[in-house]
Amino acid sequence: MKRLVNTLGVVVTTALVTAGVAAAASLGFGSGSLGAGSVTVSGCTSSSLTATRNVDNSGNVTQVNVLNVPQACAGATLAVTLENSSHASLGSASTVVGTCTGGCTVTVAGFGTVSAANLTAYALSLTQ
Amino acid sequence: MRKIRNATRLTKMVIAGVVALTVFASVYGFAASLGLTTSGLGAGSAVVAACGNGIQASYTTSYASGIPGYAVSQVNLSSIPAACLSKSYKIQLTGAAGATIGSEMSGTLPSSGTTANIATSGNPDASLVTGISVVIS
Repeated sequence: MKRLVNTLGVVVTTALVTAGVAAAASLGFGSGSLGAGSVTVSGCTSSSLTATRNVDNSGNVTQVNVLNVPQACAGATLAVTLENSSHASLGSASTVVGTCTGGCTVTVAGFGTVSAANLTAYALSLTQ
Repeated sequence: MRKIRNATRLTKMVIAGVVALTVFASVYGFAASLGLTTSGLGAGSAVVAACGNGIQASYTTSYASGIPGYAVSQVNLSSIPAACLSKSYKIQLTGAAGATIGSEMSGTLPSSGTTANIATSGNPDASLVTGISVVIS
């Protein structure tokens, strides 16, 4: 019997998090006299994250699992792009990080048909 | 004994100098963080009509293979006070030590509504961005 295994998350890649957490902080217009201000963009994490992927029997990526996402990122949108060896995008998907206890494992699906054989890296982005 | 007194005086002078430099650096840094260096406005030295406060800024990202990674694709302003509508803006993304990231964006705020989504150019690397400076005049 053909074994249906959906999970092959064996390739663990340390992915760079483009710490694109654009916290919607208030501009420093407090002085009231100048129409100028700045926002400090405080990301919910500055750490590299680890991701794995699941593969179906056809060899296509079904989902990406981003591990140990800090609780501080709850509510942020986690976007994932799958890259090939030329850094071209093979597919992108995103989801909102939920609340959890401790570090969250966030699952992102919906990349379309992407052959795992072509996947060489993940790019991640967290924005609010 | 005199040597000790002289040494103490010298120490005081050094400390005073350090304090003065620290205060100057703080003031200079504050002015820079307001984005005044890009706007050409000095802190409090130019008369710019107040158009309100409470504007929120955030940004959105999109994948850019040239980085490779995520780039800032838009700066999103929200809660724009009515008095700021139709006024000119300049926006600069900044990174570590206030370094500019990407090109300055400029234009005019919309004439109605409370939001403005402003496209960036050149795919500024989102992983480098730590701040957004905005001038509305």
